[in-house]
Amino acid sequence: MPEEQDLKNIIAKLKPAEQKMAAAALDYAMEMHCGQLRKSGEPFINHIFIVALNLWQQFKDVDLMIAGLAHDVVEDCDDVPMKEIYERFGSKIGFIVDAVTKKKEDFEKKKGRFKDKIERLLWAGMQNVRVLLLKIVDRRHNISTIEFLGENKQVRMTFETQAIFEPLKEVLKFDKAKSVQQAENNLQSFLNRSKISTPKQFKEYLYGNYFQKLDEYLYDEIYKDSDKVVWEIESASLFEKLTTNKEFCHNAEILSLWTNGDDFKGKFILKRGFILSGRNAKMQVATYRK
Amino acid sequence: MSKIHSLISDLDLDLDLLKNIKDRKVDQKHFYTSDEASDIFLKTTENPNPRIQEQRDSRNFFKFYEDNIGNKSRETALISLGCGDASLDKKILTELSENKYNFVYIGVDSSRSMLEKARENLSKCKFEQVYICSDIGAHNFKSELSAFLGIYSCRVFAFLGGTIGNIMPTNIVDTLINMISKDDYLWVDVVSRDGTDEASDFKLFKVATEYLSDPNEIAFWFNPLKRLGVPFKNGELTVEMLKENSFGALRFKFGFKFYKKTPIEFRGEKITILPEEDIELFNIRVYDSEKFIAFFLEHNFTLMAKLEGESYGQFLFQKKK
Repeated sequence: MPEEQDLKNIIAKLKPAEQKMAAAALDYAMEMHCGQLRKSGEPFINHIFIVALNLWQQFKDVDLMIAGLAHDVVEDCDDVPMKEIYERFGSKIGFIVDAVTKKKEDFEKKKGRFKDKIERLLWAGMQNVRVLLLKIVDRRHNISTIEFLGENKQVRMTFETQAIFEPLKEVLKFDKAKSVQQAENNLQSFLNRSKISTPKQFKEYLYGNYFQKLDEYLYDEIYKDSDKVVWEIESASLFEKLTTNKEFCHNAEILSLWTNGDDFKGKFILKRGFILSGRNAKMQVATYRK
Repeated sequence: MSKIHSLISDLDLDLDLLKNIKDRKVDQKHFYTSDEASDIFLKTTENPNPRIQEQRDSRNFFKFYEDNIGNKSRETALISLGCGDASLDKKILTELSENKYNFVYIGVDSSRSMLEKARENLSKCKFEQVYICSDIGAHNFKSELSAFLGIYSCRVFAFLGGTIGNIMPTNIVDTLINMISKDDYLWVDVVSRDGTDEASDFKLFKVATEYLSDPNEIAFWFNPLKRLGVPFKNGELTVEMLKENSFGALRFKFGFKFYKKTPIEFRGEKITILPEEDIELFNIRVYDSEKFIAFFLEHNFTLMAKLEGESYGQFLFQKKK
């Protein structure tokens, strides 16, 4: 795996203290994920290498790279408590890993209760933007190998990505950010500009980016039954563009198009994962099908 | 001049329209069943959009007939289902006549006024003509039409000019399989999809959308409601494209969506339509040829011949033996 060697080369050039911790994190991740396979059949550790390497290449931040190496240990290995991460890597990296880990009991005990996992993630991201950067890179790699998941899971994962992570990338100006500080500045400037002070407000803003009339209740309903949702888009020009998008045509099934000459409604279901992009790209739930 | 045999009365038609309005779905025959209606329809055919014109010009019905059915010695009944004013049939009938084919033309349509125009259109033609005013959707269509057709040994049931696209094909296929004999032919001419990809379908949707701003089409589609006294300002025309996958059709469903509460009084009955209600007016189907053929094969037909152009297909079926 070339990423493994790349990581080793990067770690070899770090300052001694950082080098020691990063090398320990690499060894730890390799040991903990040894023998695990992804749905694609490749070793699970490849995902860890790629996430950690991508984080380093874009942000050159040691804490973030180490968090990347450790980010799936608690979630995907048996009987590893979160406190082990805190003890091995300290509270800063422990916090990042804790925030992106679905097993939430330790985090919640310390930080209080959150309405849902998204608010929890956003709250943590508002404390330390690295949480969001790690989650975005992690999701990006998972999406790139989405074809190995079942079709229902694909739809669910892309819905979540569309609702949370795509707009989050825009908020952080993720593709242009070259350092953690830049991403942090972008986040703070957005939060101030939009007068957002709570994770709930942040979440609602993200929901509204690509979806109309999406609230917490509806989000949960869609998340449960993503493959049964009939989606609707009200822009004829966007819909026309989608009909020439090979990925959309492969993953969606158009059910109906409607117009009165001025207004437009295009209805479709997603059979597999698909992420809508582009300015003014908004969709909403039209109905559910059985 | 040939007589028009009417199997359908004006009262029946009005009562049927009344029922249709209650069901919020107008049957296609009501768009043609008055002198005014047929004139309005003919206006829509005066300047067809280029796609329709191209289809009309490119189909050679006579050649298809000659290649696949032609038998000059045997008397054949050519039964044109939904013949309208027979303007499309006239060309092939003239060619059959000039080439000494032995045939009788039987024009069937649910509109008496359209049949009047057909009779006028073919008045100078020498071949034998019979006109029957009947509706393929009616429960007695089979029994009443069979009484007229029993004397012919070779019968060709033809849907020319894409008329099959205005009717639910399940109705047609089930009626015809119970009506035709093993030596009869079913000749179907359909408008076909450019492709089955989403971009091609969207192009067709745009063509259908253009109809919504065509005054002649608006007058045609709104006419049954106008007849009932519905003011056009009480709503708007809409079009919806739906997929009918079992027979490979894209269905363009034209409708009228009401903005205002609208009372209707007709034949002594009162009907009230509320805002936000839709009335389904007219359907146009465009087919994926392969699925269309498969649909007929599943209903015990055998494909005898086909001829496909860029945006049309002619198919000849017989009952499976």
